[in-house]
Amino acid sequence: MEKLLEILKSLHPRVDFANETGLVDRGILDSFDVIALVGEMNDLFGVEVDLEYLEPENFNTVDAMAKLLRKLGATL
Amino acid sequence: MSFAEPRFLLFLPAALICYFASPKRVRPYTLLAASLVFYWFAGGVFALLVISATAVTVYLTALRLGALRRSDAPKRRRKAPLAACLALNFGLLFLFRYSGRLIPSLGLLLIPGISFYTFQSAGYLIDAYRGKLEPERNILKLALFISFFPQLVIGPISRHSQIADDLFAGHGWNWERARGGISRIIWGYFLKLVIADYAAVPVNAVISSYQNYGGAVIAFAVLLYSFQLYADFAGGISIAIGVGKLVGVTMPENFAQPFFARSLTDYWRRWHITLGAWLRDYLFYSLALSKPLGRLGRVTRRAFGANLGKMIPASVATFAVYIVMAVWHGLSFKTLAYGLLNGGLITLSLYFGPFWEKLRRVTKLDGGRGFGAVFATVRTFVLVVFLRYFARAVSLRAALSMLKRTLLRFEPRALLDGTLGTLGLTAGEYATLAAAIVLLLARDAVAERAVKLGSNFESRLASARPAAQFLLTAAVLALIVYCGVYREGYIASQFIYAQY
Repeated sequence: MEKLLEILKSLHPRVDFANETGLVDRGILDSFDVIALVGEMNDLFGVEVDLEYLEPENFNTVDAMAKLLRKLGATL
Repeated sequence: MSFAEPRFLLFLPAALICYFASPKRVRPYTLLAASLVFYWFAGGVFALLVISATAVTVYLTALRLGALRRSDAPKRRRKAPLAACLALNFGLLFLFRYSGRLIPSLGLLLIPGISFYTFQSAGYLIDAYRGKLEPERNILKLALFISFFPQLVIGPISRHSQIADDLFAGHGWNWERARGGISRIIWGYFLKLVIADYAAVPVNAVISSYQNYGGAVIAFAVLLYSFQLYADFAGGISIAIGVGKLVGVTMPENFAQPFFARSLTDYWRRWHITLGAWLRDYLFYSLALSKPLGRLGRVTRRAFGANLGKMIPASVATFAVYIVMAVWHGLSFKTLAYGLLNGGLITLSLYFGPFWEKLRRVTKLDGGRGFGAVFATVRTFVLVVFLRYFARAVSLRAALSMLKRTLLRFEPRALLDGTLGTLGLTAGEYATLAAAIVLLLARDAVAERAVKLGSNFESRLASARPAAQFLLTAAVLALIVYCGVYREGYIASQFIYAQY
């Protein structure tokens, strides 16, 4: 979880990711961020986030992202 | 048939009467029949045949994709039918959009709205491939999703999950919903007949013979064109959404106050939203996360460091998206230049993002509030108008020549010496146009504020005093009647985006 928060902080240092519930819906993470985020997730956690998982509900909160990573077999 | 034609005003009540008179279960089929009649009026029998080919191929391919997915077939086996069906339908789109340009002897067979329904069908198919929807088993229902008449020739491009339930529910008449729908329709006609069609007169006069005008008049025309295009397209979409509301179908919004954007990226998020979302979900992500670009990303991260390296795949995908968007708007050097300029500026902003962030901290100018926000909005607006030179000029050479005149031969006196009066509008008509544009911006300002408060324009309007609602509607209707009906020799022009 720490690693995930670190990736997110590197994208937007001033956002309170732990408590934000609409990262995509409120436009905090745009498509460029999502691409960078998925690239980092794939590299750091050894998973492959497929296109079918690129839905707002999987990226709106840190918990949702962690849930997705676990589903894909990552250990957080 | 277009929303701007008088016969649409006969067609719509007839279609609505048939729809509401049908038993609930039959209503979706009544809607399909109305859509086919609408399309027949719009493009003739040939257009009906072409859209039927799309409906049948998409229907069969989606069912096949669903079956393959249920049997856990490997991805590459599912890719073949998807690729074949997409190639066929985009091939048809390309053929009918560009055959006349590429092989003039073939002539240009116009299939109205072919881009809109092809993109919508392709989205449905890719969603079926990705397992995001259960393919429709009833071909008539799928045909209705593809051909639903309000969105057929101008959009918005809806996803199946956004409208399917409403389309097939056979909703009955609802006063509250109808009031919202009628108000959207009236607003749409106001944008089209009062702003877009009025602004078109001086815009066309200047652009068609820009050599005769100085830079200030050209800049004035391109500025007006920016409002014309917005009013024309958003007007058509507003009518489409309003008609959808009448039959209980809530379609996605296509604009979110684009002139209040704080950056070019923000502008494109607010303009033609459904095409932007389509390009993002089905093209940008597919490219940016593809294996070749993933490999490129790893190489560039090693070569240029983590920050710069990870941006390169996103930049390549961005350029690809804007080039596709440019080709969608037409096959010419000026649209290509338009796409490359947009892609280039957005990529630059991506690379300079950390620099701007630092500058904002040093100058204590917050882009989200006060002077910083106003500066960002005005800067974006100027950039958008600059890019519109390429969108509106007749060719790339003309766009460059118009820009050169704007920069080197500005001649501002022409704005006051009566030149504007020779462009087809009287002083009174300019004043009406200016008032209408102010009304449009005021409406967008209210909507922008409503979004910030977690609401939307419709809710704000509904909570306004009845007298205020009545006055606004009466003023808008009076302007439509005054400008659209009584103006001598006035004939509403075709919607600009209907050509796509």
